[in-house]
Amino acid sequence: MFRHWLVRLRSLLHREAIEAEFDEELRYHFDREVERNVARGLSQEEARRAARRALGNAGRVKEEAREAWSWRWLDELTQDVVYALRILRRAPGFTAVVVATLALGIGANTAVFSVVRSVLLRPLPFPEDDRLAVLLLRAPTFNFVDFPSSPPEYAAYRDHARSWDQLAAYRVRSATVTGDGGEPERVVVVYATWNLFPALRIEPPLGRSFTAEEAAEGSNQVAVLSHGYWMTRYGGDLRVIGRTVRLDGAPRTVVGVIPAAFGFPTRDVRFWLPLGFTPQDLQERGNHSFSIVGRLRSGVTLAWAQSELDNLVARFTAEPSFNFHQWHPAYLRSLRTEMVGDVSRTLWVMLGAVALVLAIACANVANLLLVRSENRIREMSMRTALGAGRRRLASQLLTESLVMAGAGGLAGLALAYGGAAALRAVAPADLPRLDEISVDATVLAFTTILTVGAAALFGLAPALHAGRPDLQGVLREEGRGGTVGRKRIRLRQVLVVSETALAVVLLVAAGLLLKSFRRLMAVDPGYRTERLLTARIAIPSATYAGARDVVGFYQALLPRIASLPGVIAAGAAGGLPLMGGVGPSDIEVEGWVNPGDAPRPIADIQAVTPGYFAALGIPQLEGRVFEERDGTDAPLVAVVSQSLARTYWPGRSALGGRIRVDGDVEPFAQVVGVVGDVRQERLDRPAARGTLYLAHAQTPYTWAPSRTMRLTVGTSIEPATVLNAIRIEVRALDPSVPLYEVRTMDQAVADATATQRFSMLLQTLFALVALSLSAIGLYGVLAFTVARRTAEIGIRLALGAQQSEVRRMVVRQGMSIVTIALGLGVAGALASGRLIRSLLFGVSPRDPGTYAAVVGMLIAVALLACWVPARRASRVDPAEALRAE
Amino acid sequence: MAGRKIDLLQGTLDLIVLKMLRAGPANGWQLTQSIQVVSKGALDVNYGSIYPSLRRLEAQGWVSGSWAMTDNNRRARFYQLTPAGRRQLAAEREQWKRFSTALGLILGAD
Repeated sequence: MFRHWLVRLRSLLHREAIEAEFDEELRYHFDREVERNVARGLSQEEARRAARRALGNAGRVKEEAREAWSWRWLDELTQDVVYALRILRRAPGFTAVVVATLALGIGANTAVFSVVRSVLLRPLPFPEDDRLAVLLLRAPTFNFVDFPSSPPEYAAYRDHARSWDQLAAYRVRSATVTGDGGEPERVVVVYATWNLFPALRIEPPLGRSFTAEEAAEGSNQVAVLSHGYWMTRYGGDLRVIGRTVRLDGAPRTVVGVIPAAFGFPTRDVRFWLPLGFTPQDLQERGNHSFSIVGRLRSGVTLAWAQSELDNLVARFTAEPSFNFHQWHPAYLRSLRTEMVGDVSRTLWVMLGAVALVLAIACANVANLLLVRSENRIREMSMRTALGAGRRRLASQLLTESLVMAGAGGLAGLALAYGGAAALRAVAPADLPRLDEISVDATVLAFTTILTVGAAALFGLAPALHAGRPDLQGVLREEGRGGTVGRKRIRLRQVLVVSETALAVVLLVAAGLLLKSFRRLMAVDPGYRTERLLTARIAIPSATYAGARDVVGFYQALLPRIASLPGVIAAGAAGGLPLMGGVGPSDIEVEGWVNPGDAPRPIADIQAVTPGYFAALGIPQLEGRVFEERDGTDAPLVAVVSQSLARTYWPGRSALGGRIRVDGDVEPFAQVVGVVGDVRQERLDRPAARGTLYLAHAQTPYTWAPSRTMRLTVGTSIEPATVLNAIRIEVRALDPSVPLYEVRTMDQAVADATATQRFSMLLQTLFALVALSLSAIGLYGVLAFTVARRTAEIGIRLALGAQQSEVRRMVVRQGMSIVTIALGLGVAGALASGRLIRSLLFGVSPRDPGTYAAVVGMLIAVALLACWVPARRASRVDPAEALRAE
Repeated sequence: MAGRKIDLLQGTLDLIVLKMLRAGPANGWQLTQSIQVVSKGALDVNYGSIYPSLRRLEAQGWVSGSWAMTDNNRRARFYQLTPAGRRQLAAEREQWKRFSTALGLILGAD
């Protein structure tokens, strides 16, 4: 055995010496053969010739002998790779196109896969997150889905469902932070039952979460702080534990800080506050304001828990003790679906698009390789004749493909790193878990599999028919441009048809997204988005201690800004549409009676200055908006949005109605005006709630008039040009007041539509890549057939055919391919329309305009791709074509 | 097809070469000659098959080659059986005998 390896090792190390020895050995044999022939009476010359005839092909013997060594594969591999590199270097254009095509397909794939993996496939930052689910209701009477629960419903499920380890309830609200020495700030808070943290299995690294006792009404008021807010507002101070902060004026003791990766239900939550239910709360069956999330017992499936839930609803409906007028059908959804659901469709569609691009890329590369192998049939036949084994040729071709695929894979990987970074940069900031996106080992493995798979795929086709070359046929017909390639031309046509059809599908998808993006941008959000400058401004509490000082500053500043040249109106508000700071609060509407099971009154609350409505261009529909006279001491007034007015004063005017924020100590404010609805959170759907506007000067006690405001300045000129003048006015009033976070509403709109812009952009990119690839493919097929038919075309021309006829002939051939591809592609696009429907806005997935545009565009590009070969065909010189034969 | 023919010959040729070498060291030329003589001209093994066969056997460690002088004073590569080659020959002969007996029984039965 040892010897056995020694022989192999020797063969590897002393290859040249061994080759020389082998030559000597064969020479000895040859000489003996000659000697024998001479002994038989032949002349020296005849003897040599006879020996050569008897011994045959020396090259083949050597190759076969070499094959006997097991190192042969390594030997061959090196040889193949060297040969492949030489061949590829000789055709740099071809190699570049193939490598670039692959790099594009693989790189785009890896980049998008990285995003998909980070956002979709990686588990949530909660242990065993597959056991977490949310419980939602359907309210058929109101046509509501994903409807929150009421306290008695939550209690019933918590006490009777056996499938759960923990079932927690929570609701998201906003509150103003004061009493900690910092600036008052409006932040998002979550009221949650004590078991939310055990359900999610989140342990505060600092301090603790709250206990069941602390959640009981009237007990010590505590709060748990988010990691991010701890860092930004309290500088990561460990002494924050035990500190008292006021939320909407109520003192809370901070007992814990939550881990950095944690955010529930969203990342912008700053405080978690204990939620408990009094016996009275538990009777409030109409109070549908609580979301439910729970952890299933280990081993319990979602389906099992769902069937238990169905049984419970049936039982509660039947049992008189649970009898209240209606039990809503309840359903479960995994937390992962709930958290990434919104974007998953976008990402999967994108992944599908990328897969199509890779398929097209592979088809194209296969196509290119087929052309090459056509051109190399002679080379292959020659090598077969010279004794190269069939397996050897196939592996040679495969090596070439693999070398190219390897280069393509490497370039693709580089592209993937760049692409993932670029995607991270252009991706919408609210894409969940965006900061976790990275190209990692799994993605790397994915790419490698893709690369090798692609290489095998297209390496196979030429290797297969190189394995079976019709030797004599080729050598006989060589240069005649005979019919050898006909079957292969068919194969290539099939490839071109498929890739063009796939390109059509991508083009349609891109066209639809482009159109819906345009529709989205054309949506009227209820305020103006152009020439609206916003900036944050914060005045120090040391100088402006009381509410009057704060109000006084803004009352002095805003008129000065409004009188600047180029400024139409100037206002300020605590928060702005699309920019945050506007949150829902419970409200009280005097005299409003719940007609049945409607959710508790709720509205987005905004405290604004008089100029706000004019600056944003929010139309005034009834009554008036705020004026200077609505000061701190004047009677409290309110302005409501149209939908709020319709909901709580149905069938009559809201003017004169009385309304206030729930829990406020101030009396009701009188509604003096109704204004248009505003899309506060997103552009693609109307606001979920109406808006209640309060005068900044009259901001309720629990909120305190905000010192930090967002200036809103409507201009008649380019907004950036007035910025300096605004800064000067602010400085003139108080040089210590900073102006920061300057943004135009245009930018905010761009951010709010970033997801749509993102998918539209990528899809368009993919579609253009696909289109150019299939154009290259089409050109390749036609150029090849024209080259094959040069002689025939020459004869036609010699016999008097017009150049234009020849051109038409080629174009007709190309367009017949395109027509089939168009038919298949349109059918495919129609079939897949369902998949992207949810990504579309105001456009049908079967939008005829888009289809027509795609068909037109494809035909135009195809004509271009046909034109060059057609022209070349018509320029064939008959004499030369015939001579070449 | 050519490929199958080689496949059929391969195993047997290796066995024949092993058997021939049992008599003593020999070079490639001598082997082709003696195979022709011993088989009474029925097998004409040319150098296109003998050298690959020798290489295979050498790679397996069943024969070893070394350079030596021939009768007419020329350098040639001589091959001899290794102990492993002896064992292999015995095993293959045994197998071949069983196979040809079985084949004889089947083809001879009427």
